[in-house]
Amino acid sequence: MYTGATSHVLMDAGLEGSLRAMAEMGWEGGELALTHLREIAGADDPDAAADEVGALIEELGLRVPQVHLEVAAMGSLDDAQREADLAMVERHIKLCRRMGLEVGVLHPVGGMPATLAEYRRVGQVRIESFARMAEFGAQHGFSIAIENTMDTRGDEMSALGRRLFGAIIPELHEVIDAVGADNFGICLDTGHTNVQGISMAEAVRQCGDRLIATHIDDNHGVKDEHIEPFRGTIDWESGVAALREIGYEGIFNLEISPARGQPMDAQVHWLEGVLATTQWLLGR
Amino acid sequence: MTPAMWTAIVVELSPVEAVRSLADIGWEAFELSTEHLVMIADAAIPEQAADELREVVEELGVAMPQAHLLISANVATADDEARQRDIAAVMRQIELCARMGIEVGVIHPGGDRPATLVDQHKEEGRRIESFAQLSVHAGERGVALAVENMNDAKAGATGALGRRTFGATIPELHELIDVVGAPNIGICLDVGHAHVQGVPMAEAVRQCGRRLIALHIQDNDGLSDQHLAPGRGSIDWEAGIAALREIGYEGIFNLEIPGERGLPVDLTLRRLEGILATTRWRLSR
Repeated sequence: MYTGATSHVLMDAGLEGSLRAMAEMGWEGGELALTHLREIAGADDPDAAADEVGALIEELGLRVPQVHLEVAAMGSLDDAQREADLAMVERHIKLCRRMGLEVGVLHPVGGMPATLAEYRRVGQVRIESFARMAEFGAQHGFSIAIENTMDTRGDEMSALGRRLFGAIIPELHEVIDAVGADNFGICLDTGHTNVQGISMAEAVRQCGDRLIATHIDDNHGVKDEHIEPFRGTIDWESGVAALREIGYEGIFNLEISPARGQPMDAQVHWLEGVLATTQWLLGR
Repeated sequence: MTPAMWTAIVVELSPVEAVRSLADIGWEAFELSTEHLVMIADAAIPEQAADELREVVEELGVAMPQAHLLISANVATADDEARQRDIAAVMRQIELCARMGIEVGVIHPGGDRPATLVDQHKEEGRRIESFAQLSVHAGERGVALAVENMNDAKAGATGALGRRTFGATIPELHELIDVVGAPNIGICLDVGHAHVQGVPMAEAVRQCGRRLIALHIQDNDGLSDQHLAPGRGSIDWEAGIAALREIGYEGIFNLEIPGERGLPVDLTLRRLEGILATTRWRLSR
């Protein structure tokens, strides 16, 4: 395992500034944030922008294997919306490959269908969408990681009430089993499982050899705070031990909220402290 | 649909006294509560106590088609001794129910919220095995089992599936019934549990469909399981009752409302007169 953080961790510095600062501090890698992916895709010449970022990553010697893809309507019953989103993700995957990225994280979005019949249709559409993305990814040497979600506590309800598909790891395995593609695995968000009430160690074991990406973040088990390890209630020691136990050797990628609003030097100091703690955690 | 009352609303009274008191103020149908079923099972001669209650029900011309089997029974627990003890107690209660002419026994799906997925799968196996065993015992006595929906925990609960509780969604109950494959297992829909879960009563009723054989009617604010009388919470009763008619449910409309307890019995009975009037009005619309 090696240290990494999602590139929005120094949001105010921009993508280049963030990556340069992270490399200088000693971060070994990172994840390209969705906000930065959108900037690249929205450039006048997206291919050239992607090539520039790819060159920068190479120059800095960072390992940036994963990217947070668009929160696409994978299970939407709105055909036009779903098609538009999937086409966009396909364009983004091409850009990701230009940058040398290998794994794209996607959420199992499916809205909150009001009836059981709709809920089941959403499930089928979700599988079809992931199958299409996995196939497209395979054609471009790229893998797809489906990320775990959390059951809701708000007013939005589906036919299963507050349950949200993908909040438990077995539901992710169901999608992967149904798609049956070698380049399709899991991105474990440790904060989401903590809110769901699943220990990190157990969640890691449930992912097993399908774990191909990580969103490492902490919280107090009540809401999704995306704070750095040890600021919440996750048992990091047993969680990291479980990652070793299953043989995970990928990026230990912190998807934490940036310390925006503070002077940049304060943000950098904060991130240096986060790195030191992460190195200590992984070095134990 | 006939308005019905769960007898533990006056748990201070004996089973016979409870039925007589409730019938006196106009209630025509009942669910025999766990508490009263336990009183009968613990009587010096349980069969005699059961026969006495049956005779009173017949004398009064009321109906008591369902009972709540042991509410604390956990037929899926990993504690073998406790599970066997609970199964034996439930079987004994089923025998007494049959003697009283009770046709449906409500039972919870049970479970311990295991910490690992491996243990979660083992628990599922135990649940299926227990329900298979109980359904045979009940079937031989002309009794049906109604497995009741639960709700997920809010926060603080942990397990291999986190806060999720087996049976909090209706499809999970159908899965259990499908696997057990016995003709005498159906669903008891607790509309308050569904409401806390975030499933509208009408949708929950439709999800149960023809397998709906018992009801726990109660209201709440959608946040916690309050077991209040209909109308005191935020359930959409008009749509829910319309859905019951739509699926052809003709059983009792049984109120399980411990949230209305806490007063002396005579005052509870006064309150229940009003609740009966309101329930009749809801069902007549």
